[in-house]
Amino acid sequence: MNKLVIDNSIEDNDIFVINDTEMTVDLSNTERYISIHVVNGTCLKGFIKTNNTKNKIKYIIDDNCEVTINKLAIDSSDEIEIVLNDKNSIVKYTTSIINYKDNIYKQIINHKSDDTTSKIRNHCINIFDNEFKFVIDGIIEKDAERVDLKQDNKIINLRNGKSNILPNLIVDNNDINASHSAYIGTFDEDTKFYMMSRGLTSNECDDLLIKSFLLNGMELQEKERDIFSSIIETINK
Amino acid sequence: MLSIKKLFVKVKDKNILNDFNLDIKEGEIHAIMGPNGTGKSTLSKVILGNKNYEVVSGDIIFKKESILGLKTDEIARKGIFVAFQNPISIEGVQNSEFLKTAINERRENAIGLFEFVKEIKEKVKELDFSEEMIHRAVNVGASGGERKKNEVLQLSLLEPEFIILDELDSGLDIDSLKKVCEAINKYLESHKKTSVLIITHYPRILEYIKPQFVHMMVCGKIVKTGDYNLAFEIEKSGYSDTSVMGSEKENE
Ligand SMILES: Nc1ncnc2c1ncn2[C@@H]1O[C@H](COP(=O)(O)OP(=O)(O)OP(=O)(O)O)[C@@H](O)[C@H]1O
Ligand SMILES: [Mg+2]
Repeated sequence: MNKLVIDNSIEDNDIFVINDTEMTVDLSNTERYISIHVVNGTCLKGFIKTNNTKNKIKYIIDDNCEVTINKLAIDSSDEIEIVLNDKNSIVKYTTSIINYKDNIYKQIINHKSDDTTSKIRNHCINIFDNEFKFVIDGIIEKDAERVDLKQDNKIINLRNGKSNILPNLIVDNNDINASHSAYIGTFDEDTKFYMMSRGLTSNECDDLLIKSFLLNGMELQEKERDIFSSIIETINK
Repeated sequence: MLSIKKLFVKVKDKNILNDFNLDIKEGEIHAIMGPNGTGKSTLSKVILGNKNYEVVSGDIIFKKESILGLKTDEIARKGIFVAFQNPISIEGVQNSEFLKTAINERRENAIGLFEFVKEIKEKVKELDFSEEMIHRAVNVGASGGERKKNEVLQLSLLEPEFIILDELDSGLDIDSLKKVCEAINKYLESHKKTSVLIITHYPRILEYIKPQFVHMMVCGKIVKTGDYNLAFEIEKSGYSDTSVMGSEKENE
């Protein structure tokens, strides 16, 4: 596998993925526009961490590609656009966000072609009393047959944060499979009661539940999991 | 050890426990039997300070101190453990992580990894559990019986002084019930001061863990108390039987 690194020191914003690639992204305090073109038949695995960014990232995906992204972001107002340009490609995009300030996180998934699949999982833990918004658009164009689109968006307010999920599904074709789920709320009371009945403090329950909420659903190597875990453990509640 | 005095409990404006009284001394084993919906599980949740239930009046004394108003985790760390009737699952939280955190909450120094693994492996084997469950998320995908075994695994690792078994026998097959009860008896053998309250609908579990006292609970209160034999009497005659209800009046 090819290795690709995108960080604050590398200014290249036009990226072509022409071989199977493991991409590591580490960006903080940036406002960049990055375009990533995944050419036909390639596999891209992305491990992304960002802090306080307002990036715009556009993925253009050709046919027969497999794109798997796992992203952990702190205070992110990124805008992610994913264009499934050609047939038989699959995107699995798993994003977890730790939110302290007011942020709007946008994601657009555009299915332009047949037999394309997108599995989007967005989780955010909103720590303080701030405003956080997911704006998630799914577009399935008229000519795109047998599209499979799944979206799972959840926000947990640890305190009295004001959160919102705006899902927007624009479908111009009948022969598709689309599902969407959204939840805004707190951790389940019964779960916390069960955990506390074993002697865990409310804080310890939150720690375990936050970690599970943010990491669940991600496909990570052990080293990657450790990196994400250590970021999550520093959450300032 | 545990003394419940004139307890009245409401949930959403419905009275559940009505003048409930119970006194359990160190090392004693008690059983409660009662019809569905009479408030048995409510009792165990109230003892653990569940906020869904409103204690209108009365008191719960544990080791000479009132535990009313304490947080659930504080009550648990004082040594009360409930093996729940319907243990829930926790997505994404591993048994090992959950148990280690729970154990460490009760210790001055954190348990060493080696010691933890050794202890847990021993207990898992005792309960006829597969070892890989340690790395699975708590009760996720687990069968009813597996969940009950997990309750007993937690129990034996957390070393409580007062144990409530809320319908431990539901969900366990005959062999598993025997095995699980053997594990509990082994625990009690080495923890002589530990007291147990068994909530059940069937005397079978009481044949394995033999109580000195059996209480019949109807409409949120204990209406009759007897010895081990009362369990079989109830099994034969049910709760509406006049002779049993008659002796309730005798009791008063
Ligand atoms: N959180 C709650 N909200 C509303 N009603 C409740 C709640 N918890 C318990 N109840 C009601 O209180 C009553 C007692 O319930 P509980 O679960 O304590 O019964 P039980 O004696 O354990 O019955 P079973 O033998 O079926 O387990 C029931 O009528 C139940 O519906
Ligand atoms: Mg019950």
